[in-house]
Amino acid sequence: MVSDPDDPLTLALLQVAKGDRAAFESLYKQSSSRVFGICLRMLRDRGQAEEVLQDVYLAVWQRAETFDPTRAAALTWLSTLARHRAIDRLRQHRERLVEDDYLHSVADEGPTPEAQTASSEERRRLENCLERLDAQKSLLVREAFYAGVTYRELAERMALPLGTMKSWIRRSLIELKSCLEQ
Amino acid sequence: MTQPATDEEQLIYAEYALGVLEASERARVEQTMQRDPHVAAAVAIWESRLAPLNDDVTPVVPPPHVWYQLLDRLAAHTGQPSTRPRDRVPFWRALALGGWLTGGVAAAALVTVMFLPAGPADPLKGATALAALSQTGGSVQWTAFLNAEQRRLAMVPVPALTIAPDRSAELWLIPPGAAPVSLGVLAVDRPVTVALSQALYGQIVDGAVLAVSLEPKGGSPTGAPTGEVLSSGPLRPI
Repeated sequence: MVSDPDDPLTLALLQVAKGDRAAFESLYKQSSSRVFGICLRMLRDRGQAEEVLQDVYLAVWQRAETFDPTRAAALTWLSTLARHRAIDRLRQHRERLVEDDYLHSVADEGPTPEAQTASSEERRRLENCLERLDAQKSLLVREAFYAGVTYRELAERMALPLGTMKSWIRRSLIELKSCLEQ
Repeated sequence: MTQPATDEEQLIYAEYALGVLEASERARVEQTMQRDPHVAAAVAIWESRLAPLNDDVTPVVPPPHVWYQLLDRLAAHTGQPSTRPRDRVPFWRALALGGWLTGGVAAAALVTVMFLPAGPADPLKGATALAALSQTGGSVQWTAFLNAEQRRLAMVPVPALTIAPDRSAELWLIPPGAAPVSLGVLAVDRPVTVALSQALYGQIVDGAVLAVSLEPKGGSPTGAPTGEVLSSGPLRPI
């Protein structure tokens, strides 16, 4: 997926790479709710999500020049950065705080109705390919993506043997790749 | 050119993008990505394949204090010896001033007022003075809880308080017979805690009034209230 050259986020990110300060503020305003949603969803802790959100934008300011619009859309680049920062944080703090009521509203599993109708062409393609997997494997891939936890932790959560978990996810990834490349 | 990645290698990039690897395996993939642009590209392809799942994550607007803390962290970062241009430090200060507190008073206020990460769990605990801020003859809009020991002022809005989306609610301390001093921009949908410097705290004397004015987005451009007063009330010891 390549950036649309007219995408305001892409333009802002390219300006940030040149050290443009106003563009940085604009980028934050346009994208921080998406990034914060990802941090909350994965970390399930508001304080940690706020810290990771700041880490993400610090990294954006320092590493915006590594953004390559021919390789990824700006929002994908930002979301990926956020996911990996959140995963790193999860690896550091394995024990989680019990999620509070606030998080119930953002931690629903599965696609929301509006996501199914209003989402991108890429989202629909991925959904079609996920639906071709058998239901349990499709669920595992989604759970793995949103939880950001290791195979081992995922196996414990889903009460599956570790070996089974690994082989199911690997097979699902191979099937997804071939489906998406069609 | 390096050899095209084997299926097994491709799979570890997919596992990295999905987020299921242990910390040590993640570190190995990241090192390889830095060394080998082909690996970085292969990982990026997997990231893009899975990224549409992010569309399903409900966006959540972060609270305003996160932005100000980020500016502080950027200023701290860029204040350290680095290869970045030296003007970065004044920039972050200027941005904080321009977007939030402005004018002569603000320059002093910036170093003395700080928004804390969250509203207090129980603002009444330890409170030494209260103020009910209301419209003239109208209903209460904010309740202020001053904690003298911690020099913190918690501002709790009533539920469902709204202002025009292109405006900000700015809090002012008005010592008796003196000009209003900005205490920063308030959120209207959640409590905000303001940390007061010794100097600011010293201005909270008998007869001091708290007021909230409606200002352009980000706060008064002049450092003094420019818009309609939404709400005000005297601070009373308890």
